Amino acid sequence: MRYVLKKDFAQFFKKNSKLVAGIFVVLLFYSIYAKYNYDSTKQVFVAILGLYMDKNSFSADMVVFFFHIVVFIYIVLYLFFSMFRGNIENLFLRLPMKKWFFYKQISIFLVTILLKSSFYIIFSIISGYFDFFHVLSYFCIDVIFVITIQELLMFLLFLFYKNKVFFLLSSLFLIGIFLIFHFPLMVLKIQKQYFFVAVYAVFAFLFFFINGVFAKKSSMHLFEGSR
Amino acid sequence: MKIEVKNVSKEFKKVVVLHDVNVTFEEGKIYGLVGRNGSGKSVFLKMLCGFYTPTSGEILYDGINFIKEKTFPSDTRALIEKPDFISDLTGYENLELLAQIQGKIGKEEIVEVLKKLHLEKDMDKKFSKYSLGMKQKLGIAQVLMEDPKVMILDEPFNGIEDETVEELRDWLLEEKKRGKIIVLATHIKDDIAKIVDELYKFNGETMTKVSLEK
Repeated sequence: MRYVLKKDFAQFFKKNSKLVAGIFVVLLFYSIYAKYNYDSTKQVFVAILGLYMDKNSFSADMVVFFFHIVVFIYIVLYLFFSMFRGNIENLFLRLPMKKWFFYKQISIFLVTILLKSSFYIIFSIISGYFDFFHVLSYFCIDVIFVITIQELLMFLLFLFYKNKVFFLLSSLFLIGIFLIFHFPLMVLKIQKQYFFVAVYAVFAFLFFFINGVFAKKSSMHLFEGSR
Repeated sequence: MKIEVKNVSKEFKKVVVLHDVNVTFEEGKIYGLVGRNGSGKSVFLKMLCGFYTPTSGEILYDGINFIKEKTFPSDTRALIEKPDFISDLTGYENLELLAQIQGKIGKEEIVEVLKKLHLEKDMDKKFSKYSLGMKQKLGIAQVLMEDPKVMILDEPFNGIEDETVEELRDWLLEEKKRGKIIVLATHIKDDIAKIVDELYKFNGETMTKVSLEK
């Protein structure tokens, strides 16, 4: 596990340091905008984190919402494919694919948590919103949501390499589900929807196990697809 | 131990890279694979390691088809194409991390391999500071350090000084005597002609046995 974690952390933060800095700069600029547009510190805080959306929401909030999603989708794509660059034989002749996939999940989870917690600490200070239990509750819900999206994305990646038609159909279906269920959930204010959050967590676990099976069964598709 | 490659063909998007390759690798022998760049050597080696699936045919390690079992051959180490390690770690730290995955060897064995490859002075340098030859040596070190039964080396002598190449050749001959299967691939026949027991040439989509004139 140490090899996977060290390689991922070293590569991700070294090769993406400018990108990570850029993400913070974009959000800092948006925090200025949010301070002028919202009255309460709580609204400013959730808006910077891309969690603020109600019926009268600004289109900028929606952009920030997708910005956060794209950032964490990028993390998955980058970390998932990083091992297929360079010498795959160093690692995969020593480590079974299933174990690699499990370690990779931990690695993606840790990078996600690290970035998310940095966001929450910095933007809690900037927005001046210090209600610890609310911040923690947002953080947990947000992490569950992001991890579900990441697991779904990995599932789609496996499908992409295995069967392009099935990939296309599944993508359309999942995007449809997302638009039908997630957006109303956001509109109704995410922090009160514990049932939906639990559903997300169940989906994240479900896709985690399916992806684990895929990782073992379709390793060759991954290697050949990444050449 | 025996590796049997039976009627193996490989296509990528309907482009035939290898067609009907047949060869048996037996223990206690060094096998040479020669062919120009892009002739399919690396693809063949990746199939030997179980990373690519043959379009048809099978590869058996002592009768076991690892590819069918969706796993990778055990006790096999390889260096295919250019060596790649974590650039911020030292040469030693990189090998230590890899060795920890299976926990078969410790510091002593790692340092011993590094000494044999004349890398001990540079083992505490970061990989990013290594020269091409040093990177290549580290790649070879990760193949040799855990004393595997099967060693697969693609262009092993790239960028390595003549003196060390000679020592490496002697070392590979010693390993051969210890019953290892060693597969060396190169585009320069002279690099390996002195030490191989059998030589195969990749030509077009086929692999043919070449007679050895020693």
